Amino acid sequence: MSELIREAQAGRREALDEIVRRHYPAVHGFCARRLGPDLAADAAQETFVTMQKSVGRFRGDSSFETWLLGIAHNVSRKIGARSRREFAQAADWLDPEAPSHEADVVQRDALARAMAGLSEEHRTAVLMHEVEGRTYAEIGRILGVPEGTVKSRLHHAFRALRQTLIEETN
Amino acid sequence: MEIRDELKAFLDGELAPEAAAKVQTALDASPELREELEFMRGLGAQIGRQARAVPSVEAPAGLLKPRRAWWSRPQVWAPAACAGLVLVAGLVVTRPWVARGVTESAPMAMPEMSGIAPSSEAPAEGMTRDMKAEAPPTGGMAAGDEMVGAAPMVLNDPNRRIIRTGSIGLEVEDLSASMSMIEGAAASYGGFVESSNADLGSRSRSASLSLRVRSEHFGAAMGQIRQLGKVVTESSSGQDVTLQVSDLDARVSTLKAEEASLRELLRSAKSTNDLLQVRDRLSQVRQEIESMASQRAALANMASLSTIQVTLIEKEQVSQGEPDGAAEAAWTAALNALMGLWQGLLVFGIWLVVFAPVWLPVAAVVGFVLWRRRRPR
Repeated sequence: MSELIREAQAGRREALDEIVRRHYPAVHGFCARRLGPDLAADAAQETFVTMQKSVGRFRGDSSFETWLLGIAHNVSRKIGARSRREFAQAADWLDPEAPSHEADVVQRDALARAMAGLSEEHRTAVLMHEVEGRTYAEIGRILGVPEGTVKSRLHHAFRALRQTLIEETN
Repeated sequence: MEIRDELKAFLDGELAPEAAAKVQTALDASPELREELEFMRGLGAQIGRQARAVPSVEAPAGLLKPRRAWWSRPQVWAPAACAGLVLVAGLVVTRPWVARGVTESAPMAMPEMSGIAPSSEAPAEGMTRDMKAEAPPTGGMAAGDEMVGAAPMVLNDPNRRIIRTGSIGLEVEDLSASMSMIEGAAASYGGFVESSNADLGSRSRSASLSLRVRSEHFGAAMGQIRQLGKVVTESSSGQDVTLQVSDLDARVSTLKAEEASLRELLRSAKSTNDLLQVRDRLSQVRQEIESMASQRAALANMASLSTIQVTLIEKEQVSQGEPDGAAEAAWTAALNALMGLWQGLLVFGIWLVVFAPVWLPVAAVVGFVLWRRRRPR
């Protein structure tokens, strides 16, 4: 555990502010991907306020950012439910401006439909792994589930995507 | 486990070396599996490419608020404030100290009162705070004495005169019997019923009586009346008129001295004019003396006989079942129930506070366990 976190755990204000400064972009981005840009700032702030209250319980089992994103995940779910917005929105993850690439394996519309057909849990796992580039262990810690569950979710999600896309092509 | 189930984890490099080797062997043998793996690889990469980019945002200033002290957090002070409010409301509504003051405080008041009023002239029983409030303070009395030049008055002067009045409202079983008992009581305490008024109408039978009893029996008379039924209201007060009486005495003695010297002058008057002037003044002095003597007598009479106002309401009538009566009875019953509830809450609150050392640690442990369970991280 770093010195900065120990100082934050001792309640030093400067250390807490430094943690906010360092991790805010990651937390804000994480929340923005789940709630959209307009609710992200609120979610990020609530995440850091929760961190301030509970930093004493961080024991260094995972990286501090993973622990922080676990809080951000719970906060985002709560805010998503409160604002009646579907969490990790089905249509929102896709950038309509993104150019098509020669390596694309399917049509963009078909991919969007197939992703929309996934359950929220599966879609979240896919986005965390493919878009955010997180390992299975990180995803497990953030979501609060075992690593094996992440593996199984990703496997089933990709299977379902493939199945849907094959059916569409035929 | 089927090799196909491991394909995604293999692609992501999340398999243990042994499992990865097995998948690799299967892949080498199966073009179909290789095709599936490549599809997954392409799909994952495409999802990554086509996802919406999230702009990087710097932390705004002053994101974290200063931490509040534990006692200033709403989850601490809000329940405490609520509990306090309930207790205070309970105390105000039930006013247990007033109820006790009416029925039980008399003996407690004794030691306080005995210093002021000796038992021979002013028995302390039955007096309430009202009386103490109206009695002039010690300093005031001493100053008054010097002003009128009367004999110095001390606190335990047996000549103190206090006009005492009391009123008592009772709910009784039998109106007529209670009335005659009160008359008997008045007579036994050297007094009489000054006036009485009974309403024996069909719905609510009630009566009011005004008694005069000897001052020294005031407390005993109040006590006996209380026994006749359920006390609904009670008050008593005292007015110290010692100062007024001694003031009148002093003025009378001054006037009497003047009268004596005028009589002396009358005897030695030489001219008719002198004679007439002295007689006029003498008759003026005489009138003043008589007026003051009668004022003094009236005060002394009022002080020697206390007044007690008694209001009696026959009990059965309170809850009798006519339509209006039913509504009234329901109102009374509901009010009583509410009072009961407040009293119950109050008693509960007091027990809760007294037994806090027993239940608080248990509650704290349970709360802590629940709190930890709610936050798995």
